[in-house]
Amino acid sequence: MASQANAGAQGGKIIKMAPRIAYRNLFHDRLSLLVTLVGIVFSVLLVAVQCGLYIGSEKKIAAVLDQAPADLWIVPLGTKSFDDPALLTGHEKYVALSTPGVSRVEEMMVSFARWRKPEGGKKAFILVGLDWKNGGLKPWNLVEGSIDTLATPNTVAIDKSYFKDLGIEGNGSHAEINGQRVTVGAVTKGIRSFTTLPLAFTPIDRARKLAGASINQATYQLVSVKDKDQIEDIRQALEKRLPNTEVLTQQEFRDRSVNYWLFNTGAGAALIAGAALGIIVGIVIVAQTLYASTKDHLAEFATLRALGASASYIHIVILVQAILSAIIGYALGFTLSMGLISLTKDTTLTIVMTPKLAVALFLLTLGMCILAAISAIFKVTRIDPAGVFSG
Amino acid sequence: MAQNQSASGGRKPLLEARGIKKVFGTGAGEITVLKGVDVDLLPGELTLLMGPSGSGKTTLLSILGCILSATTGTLSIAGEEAVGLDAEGLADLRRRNIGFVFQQYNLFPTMTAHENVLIALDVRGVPLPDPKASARTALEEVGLSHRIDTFPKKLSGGEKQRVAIARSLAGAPAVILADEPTAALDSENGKAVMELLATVSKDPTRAVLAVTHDHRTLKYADRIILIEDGIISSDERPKDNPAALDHDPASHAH
Repeated sequence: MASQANAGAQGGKIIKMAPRIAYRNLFHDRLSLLVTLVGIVFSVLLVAVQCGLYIGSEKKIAAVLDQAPADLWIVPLGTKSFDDPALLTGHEKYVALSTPGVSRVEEMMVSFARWRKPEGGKKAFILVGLDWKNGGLKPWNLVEGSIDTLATPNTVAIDKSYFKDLGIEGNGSHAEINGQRVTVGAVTKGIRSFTTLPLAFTPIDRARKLAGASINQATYQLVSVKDKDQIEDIRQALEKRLPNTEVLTQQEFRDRSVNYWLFNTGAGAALIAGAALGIIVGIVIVAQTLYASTKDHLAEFATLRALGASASYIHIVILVQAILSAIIGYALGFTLSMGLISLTKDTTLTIVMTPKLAVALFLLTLGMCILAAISAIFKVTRIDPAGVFSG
Repeated sequence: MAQNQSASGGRKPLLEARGIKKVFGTGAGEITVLKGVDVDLLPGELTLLMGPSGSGKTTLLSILGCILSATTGTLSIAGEEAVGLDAEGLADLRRRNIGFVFQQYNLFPTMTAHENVLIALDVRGVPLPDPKASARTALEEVGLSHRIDTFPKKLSGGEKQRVAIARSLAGAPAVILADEPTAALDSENGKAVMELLATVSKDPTRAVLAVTHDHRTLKYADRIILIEDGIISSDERPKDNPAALDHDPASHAH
């Protein structure tokens, strides 16, 4: 029996048993574990979908903006968002080009228009005129047709996901825009607006014609500068020279558009509320099951305490239980979320998962489970180790 | 105590309690459970603490085990003072110096016998060259080499208590405190457990105290302390006074 004392004096290693106790406690009651995991999975799924929709909405709102990296945007005074079209007077491009430090100016036209379906019926949409002939932005994600095809008179590019809304069958279909006959000359994939209005792309000259704008008019002037350090100076110069416009940086215009749609309309608040609900539900379910699990194992925690375990040793057991629950719940919830995202890939529902969101979601799940462990920790902190004795 | 001092043979007590008094409640509801108890536990001895229900033996065991604080009195274990320590300080003292054996074994049901011993080694923070081998050896020494990877629900009561004894020995504490170690066992297993505790107590670096009602345990005792109404009414060594066994202090125990 003295063997252990001798061995102890020689020094060596210690096998950490707290994680193993946590693991066994967790898997001992499978039903309780199942309830915990369902709670976490539900929470992860809800938060992932809500956040994914939020990011997806942001991407849709800024779909064209993100593809047109200008340094400065000259926009009509009072513009609320990218798809809040008004027209500049027409001389802004030349004013901008004559401003020192400006290297290039690209025009863009955004207009509401009316689409007459081939089989009858009308649909409002957003006509986007791009200036790619002068090196500007051109339709992207083309899956049928080409940019060259769009050079053909009266052709437009339509996203595949809008075929049904616009009553067309595919590339080569005919329709009318504001009473003028057009042909679908190219098809894009995954370019959707945040609203229910479809987007159609065409060269800016044709967009002007279809929208009834004059030859020099545009909705936006996209300004590139020679020296990025001079952006603020050039902005001030442009603002001085173009008093009836606003000059915004790319980020400012993006933020303004996103904030308008997500916060002024309340759509973003609904998504954030949904995500918050998911977090609350997750915390409540995990807290309840962890607390119940701790109560089930109180005798063991009291024994640990009687054996001399520090309070932190017991807290570690509970925290490891929470962390293990978080890892398993996250893995399952994330897998389900990715499955759902994959299923909705070709639908109008844009749910986006980014690496940053995946990491944030994991940290959130971890935090949620650790927060949920607090009630259980309070419970064990009050354990009286004297309860281990029979008397 | 004079008898104990003369019987100590120069051995230094591993546990010394002086004037232990414990009062529960306040005012009209105040109950004095221990009324000034002195106890020394000497190395190499198995001491039985006996007494009727409500005599204060479990309270005394809890205080000697640093689980409960005395209202007044002093306690030192392996030379370390327990008085004035907070809950964490007492836990630290227990961790380093005391091993427990409980009536209901208190094994971790989700852990094998081997893992139950490993938990005690981990809690005690005893670094060993090969903790797994040490835990295995501890189980072999209590005769459970064939049940190392068995979960408690597959063990008999006697086997569970032997695992608990192996666990209490993990880290080689100076004092082993056993609470009714045979109460849940049949006579055969009870005998085996008492033989084991008697063997364990012969280690000259260790003292063993067992609270018991079981008269079958008397023959294993080096010393028998009888507590009644919160005071020690007798403290005898059967080897010095064989008649002590004849009057069976356990008969007071119910």
